[in-house]
Amino acid sequence: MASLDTAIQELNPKQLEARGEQLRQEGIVIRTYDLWKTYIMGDQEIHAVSGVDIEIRRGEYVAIMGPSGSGKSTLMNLIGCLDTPTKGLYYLNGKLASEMEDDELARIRNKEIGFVFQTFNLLARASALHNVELPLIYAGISSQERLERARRALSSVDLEQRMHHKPNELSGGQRQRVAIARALVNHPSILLADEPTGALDTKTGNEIMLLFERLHEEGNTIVLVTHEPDIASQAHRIIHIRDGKVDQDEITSRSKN
Amino acid sequence: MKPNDLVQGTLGLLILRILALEPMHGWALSQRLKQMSKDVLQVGPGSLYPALHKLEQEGWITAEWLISDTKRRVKFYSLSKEGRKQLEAQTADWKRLSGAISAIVLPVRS
Amino acid sequence: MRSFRKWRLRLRSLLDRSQVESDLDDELRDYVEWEIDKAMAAGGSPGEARRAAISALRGMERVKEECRDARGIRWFEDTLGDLRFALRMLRRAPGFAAIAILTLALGAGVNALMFTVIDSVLLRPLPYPDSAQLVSIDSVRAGSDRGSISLPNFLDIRRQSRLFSKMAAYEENSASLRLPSGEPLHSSGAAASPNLFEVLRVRPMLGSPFPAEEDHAGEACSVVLSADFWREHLSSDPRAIGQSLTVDGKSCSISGVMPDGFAFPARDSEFWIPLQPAPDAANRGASFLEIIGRLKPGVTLAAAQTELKVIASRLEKAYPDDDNGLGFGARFYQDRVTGDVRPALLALLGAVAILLLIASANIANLQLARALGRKREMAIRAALGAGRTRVARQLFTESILLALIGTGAGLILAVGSLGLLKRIAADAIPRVQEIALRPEVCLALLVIAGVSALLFGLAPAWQAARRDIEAALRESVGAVAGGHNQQKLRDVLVVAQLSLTIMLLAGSGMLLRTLYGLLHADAGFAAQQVLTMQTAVSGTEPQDQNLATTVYAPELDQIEQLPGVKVAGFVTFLPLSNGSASASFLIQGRSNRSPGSQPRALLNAASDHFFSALRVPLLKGRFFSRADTLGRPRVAIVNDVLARRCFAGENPVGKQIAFDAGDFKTDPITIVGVVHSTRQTGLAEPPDAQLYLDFRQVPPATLWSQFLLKQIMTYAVRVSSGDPVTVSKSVQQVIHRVDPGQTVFHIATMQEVVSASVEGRRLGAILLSVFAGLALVVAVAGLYGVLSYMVSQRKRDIAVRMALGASRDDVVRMILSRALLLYAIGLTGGVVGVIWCGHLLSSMLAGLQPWDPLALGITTFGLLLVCFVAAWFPARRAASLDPYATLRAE
Ligand SMILES: Nc1ncnc2c1ncn2[C@@H]1O[C@H](COP(=O)(O)OP(=O)(O)OP(=O)(O)O)[C@@H](O)[C@H]1O
Ligand SMILES: [Mg+2]
Repeated sequence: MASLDTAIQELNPKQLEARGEQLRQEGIVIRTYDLWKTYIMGDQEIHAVSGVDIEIRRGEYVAIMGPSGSGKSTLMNLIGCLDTPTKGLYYLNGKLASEMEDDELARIRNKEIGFVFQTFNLLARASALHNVELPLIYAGISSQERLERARRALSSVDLEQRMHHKPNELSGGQRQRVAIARALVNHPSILLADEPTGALDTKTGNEIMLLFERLHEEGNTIVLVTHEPDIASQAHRIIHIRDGKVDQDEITSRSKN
Repeated sequence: MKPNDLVQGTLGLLILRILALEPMHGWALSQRLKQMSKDVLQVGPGSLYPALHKLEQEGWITAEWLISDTKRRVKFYSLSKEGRKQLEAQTADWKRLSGAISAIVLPVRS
Repeated sequence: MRSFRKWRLRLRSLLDRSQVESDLDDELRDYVEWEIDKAMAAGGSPGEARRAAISALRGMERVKEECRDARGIRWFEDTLGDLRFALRMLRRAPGFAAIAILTLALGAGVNALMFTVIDSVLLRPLPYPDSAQLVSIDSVRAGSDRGSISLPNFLDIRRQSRLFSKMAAYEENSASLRLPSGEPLHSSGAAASPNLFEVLRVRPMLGSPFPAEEDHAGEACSVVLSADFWREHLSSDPRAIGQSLTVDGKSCSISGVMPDGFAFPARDSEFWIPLQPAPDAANRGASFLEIIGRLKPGVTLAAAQTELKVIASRLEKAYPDDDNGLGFGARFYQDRVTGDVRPALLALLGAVAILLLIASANIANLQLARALGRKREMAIRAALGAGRTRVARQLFTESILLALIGTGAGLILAVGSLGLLKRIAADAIPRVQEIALRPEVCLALLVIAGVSALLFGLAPAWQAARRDIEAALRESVGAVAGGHNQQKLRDVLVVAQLSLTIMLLAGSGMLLRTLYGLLHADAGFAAQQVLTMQTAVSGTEPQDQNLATTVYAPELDQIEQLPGVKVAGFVTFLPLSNGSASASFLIQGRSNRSPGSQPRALLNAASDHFFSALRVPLLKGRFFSRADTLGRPRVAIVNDVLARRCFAGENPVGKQIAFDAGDFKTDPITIVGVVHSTRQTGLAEPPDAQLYLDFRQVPPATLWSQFLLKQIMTYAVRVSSGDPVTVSKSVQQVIHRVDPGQTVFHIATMQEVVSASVEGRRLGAILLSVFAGLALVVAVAGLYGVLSYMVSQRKRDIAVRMALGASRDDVVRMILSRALLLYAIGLTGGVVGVIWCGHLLSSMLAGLQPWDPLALGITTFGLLLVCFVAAWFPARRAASLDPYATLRAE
């Protein structure tokens, strides 16, 4: 792999583009090459992510595990285009996300990525419907269609009746389902969830996991971060992270192939 | 032991403790203190009254003027609800502190 | 509960000192008695008991002292602690403190300023004993302004009235004086009936007033001088009393010097002479006197008005020729002095009140923001057991501290700007020399500022402190922390600020536009490159001297010879400056009408070059010429207003007019020209009919000459280029050479004359603009604060939106559209306010257009720009947020 890394760093823009096209055709949604994220704290360098190469195909269901502070969230945010890598290349759906400008990244987040957070991150003052509608607004979709699609997304997580409730009028599980509906509403290439069950009790957590299972069966590509082996075991592949590096990449028993 | 040697603020604790038994006036309080400490602790008016007034100001004790059998106006102090809470808190503190002090001081002597 | 008790005890220690002291005595004595009892009970002798008592008593004073300390010190320490804490909190939030204090200082400062002006000018009684009894009496004729009263009518009123204890008549006057040293100078003062000082109840500080009711023959003239005049021109010499001073050529002995600050009827009155009955004083139709009377104690103004009505109808019946349609009006003398500026001052007071409101809204907004930001601090305090009262007390201390510092700074600001205001307002505000900051005003201000600071500062903070912690916690879990109601309240406050600011801005815009309109309206002449100066002959000239040919004409000729001078003119009453005179006249060949309904015109004597000096356009006929001399047929020039009024559809040139009243009877005068009208009394006044007589044809030794030439006359000198002031010296030299007794004063360019005529309006417009500018600053700071706060509170919100794909532009747009929304609502409210206030204002301030779309348009647009700038920074800050770091930080 290392030789490939150095090789790819030396490609010219045309070749990089060609590589992206190739990845897309092969159905590889996510591909990172020697991805680094380094934070400077005073005179100390913290390598939160240090040289990660991963490849995730369309339709995969991947769990990322690792001890606290190992860099899971950092990696997720790089994949989610919320953050830019210090070094390395990142192809999302054949496009070189690591080289993109702010506005392009915003568009990518909007169109290609559905984010689910541990603490839901819903807008407190907005109804469930409006929360789900939000990504569509930034996608520039007409209000008629927005409403229709948001309603459909909510009904797909069984929350049609709670459409007009504010977040603080919903239970934790319901809030997370709203967040998932919001993540799905734009039909993203990939659904990213950072400890989606972290703030929920076991029973509610399991309900959410069932929902993920269903979404996967419907063809969504899912990457989720978790601490709990129980949860991780429901994925079809587990990537173990340690000290910012991929430690182990295992295929679980649930995998069909 | 002279009250001056008492740890700062301890006199307040002692007053609260004694008033917790029953309301009484200043002089009686000084006598009771002497008696309860088996003559170890003696407190004169110079320390007693300022302490009483301070406690009254804090609202931990309340005062009331009564007429004694000898027809004198006598100022009776009693513990307030706040004072009771304060007493508990200070007693706990005191236990912790004295425990800590003995833990350090006593082994040296032995 | 507990703190309440403590306060009560402390209050008792403070208020009821003696009781506390005697209690303390009792308590300690009680101790001693117990000691004695104990000693006795122990079987000791009385001597031992006494010794015990003495030893117990020893040091009791110190005990008392310590007890007092124990009581007092806590309170002191608490307060000091609170203060120190408040100071620390303010220091920790320097931005907040600075904006709050500055805002309050501005609000309080301008209010102190206007309060002081209004207090000193409108509210404080005039500096005469029992000045509320002083009443001014005017004549009122149907369809005309208040006017003066004739001497016979005055004497009749005084004789018939039962409700006035005293009544005096006076006439504002200006005269050429000659000091005992021989130095000539011109000065203004008044000629008054000798009892004037008795009416006012002010005695000279030196010498005596006029001899009582000096006989009307007026052989022996006396003069009373102002303290300033005495100091400046007589070097404060007490021996000046009895010396003689020449007033308009007449020698008068100085009888007294008035005390400092005596200024009647005008601010610059310097001398008072007994009223000399003019030759036509017996003429009931010649109104030239002002009347001031003192009501008997307990008499109301309404009663006096009723009595005057009765007297007027009696006079009307007795003298139907002259007093037909006559009425008298009475008003408090104070209203006469200050009435003109009252509406403007009140409007300005309204403006500063609005400014204070805006400032208070700002403080409220800041406090709300802080209270929310301190929710955690409050929660921790509450968890540590601080009672709500304790927290409230701390907020209270903080608010009070802010209010005190702010108001203090405001007072300093006010004191600083008061001097400036007095200087620039000297000509625009009456009683300006009396304006001074009084402790009552400071106190009132402190109270108002304190109350508003508390209301606006403490209430929201208190409300925030009371917020349900449960709800707060619930809100913050998984959702973005809210404070929705607070945000709404803050929005409302900002909207109100913007509305009020628009009102002030539009108001000042209206005033400025009106002023600009006046200054650029066609005044009927060209003011550029003209120097004007007023002169007066000494008055010692022989009665029959022809001043026109011996003084004025040679002077004009020589002035025109001067290098740089293009043309020099001369007129009795310069436009927009020293008054006017009017007279009724007859038109030859028309049926004679009754005296009351004859046409009237403003009267002037002018030189041949006056019109070209001021570039007054000739519309028909010709100007005066040198050939129009005393012996030749008399000629006149009229203005277009008179032409239209009296000769509609005819050519006035060639028509003849004449005067027929008493001593003013003339032969027919031929109209030879029609000129454009000039604004005589004020730029806002519509032009009136004007009639010019050739100064060479004014017959000497008549009332005409007295009236039109032996007056303050004005030279208008047009220079060929450059600054007209450069010829001032040489022109004065010419005048001095021709007539050494002639005084020259009030030298100003014509542009300055025009500008001075709108001084009051200018001052009003400037002040309102300053206030509006301050309001703008404060309101925009408020908007900025709200948006910044919104951004800082909703960081997470914004980060979430960015995570969901909002671009930086989207975020900027979000904040800006928020600002725009607030602006739009504020604008709506402001425009409604402007419409409402515009009507109010225009009813108060003459010549103001209530609806001025241009001013409003500029205001709205300007405010939009400023709001945009104020919103831009928070918007940029929001857009530069790092979504990942923000989401991570929570
Ligand atoms: N903005 C930052 N500045 C400095 N250091 C950071 C920053 N973000 C992350 N780190 C560091 O990078 C490392 C990885 O952090 P990360 O949040 O990715 O861990 P994690 O695996 O998600 O942990 P957990 O399971 O506790 O959520 C940590 O050591 C963290 O302290
Ligand atoms: Mg994490």
